[in-house]
Amino acid sequence: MTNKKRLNLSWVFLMVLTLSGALMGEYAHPGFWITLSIAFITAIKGRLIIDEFMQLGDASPAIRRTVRLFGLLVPSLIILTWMFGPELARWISLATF
Amino acid sequence: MEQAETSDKPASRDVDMVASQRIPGNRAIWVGIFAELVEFTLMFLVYFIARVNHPQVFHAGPEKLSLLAGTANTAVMLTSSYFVARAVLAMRKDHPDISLHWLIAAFITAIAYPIVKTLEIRWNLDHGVSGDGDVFQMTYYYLTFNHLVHVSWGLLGMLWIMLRTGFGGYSAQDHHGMIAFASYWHATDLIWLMIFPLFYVLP
Repeated sequence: MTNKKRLNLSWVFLMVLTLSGALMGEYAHPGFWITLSIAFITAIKGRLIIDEFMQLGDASPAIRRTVRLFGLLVPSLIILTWMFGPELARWISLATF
Repeated sequence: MEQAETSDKPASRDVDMVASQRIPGNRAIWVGIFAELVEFTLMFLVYFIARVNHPQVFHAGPEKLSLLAGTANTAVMLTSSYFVARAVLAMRKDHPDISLHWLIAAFITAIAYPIVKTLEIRWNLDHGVSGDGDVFQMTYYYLTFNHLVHVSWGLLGMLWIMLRTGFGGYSAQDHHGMIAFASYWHATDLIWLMIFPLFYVLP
């Protein structure tokens, strides 16, 4: 596949994922699977930007790994705070400040 | 535009870009990008600390915002980022004129971001969403205003890259400045992709 086709497909995929996320925001009710889906979509979109638009696949490992790690930060925290929200709140309570 | 790019090679990427220690653009831009990522990492931590301490406020938060505005700005950022990637690809193929056309398309698209943002803020204020509202609203303004500042810098950078391209400042052999800008713009796009679900989607 050519670079041009990869970019075109990536953009289409990103737009479809964005609209899917928007539909979830409009109609979905809170729940584990919807939270997991939102986190997964966010992670996929981030990875597409990093690998296809930024083309960091063959960049310095320090740059590639740092940016990929950043792309996983928010999706991971979405899942963690859903699963362990009350426990995390006890550890980092704003009331102590 | 399409005809001139039919010599596009398979996705093996350009040979000179394959070095395992490749720094896209230049070191200076990556210092800036890492600073940007650290800044937003801290802000995301603030968001999640506030979220676990005020779960009900955050569950109800997205309903108060305009999902249409958030989705529109996501589409704007993604499309502008795509156009910039196409500009870099065209320059690699030694087509500076086509590259400039893609950059102009990217700029026209990206300028919609502050316009949509302005309309969104007006809509917010009409619906009682202000910077001195609840903790969800405060973090929303805190993060999205910061992101708007980064987009504004990017727009100025894009103008500079357009001028350089228009005056023949880049070639297929040397367009590190364009790649540096593209890296910054894609990073700013990546950050928005993280902000979007937190404020507009996540119930």
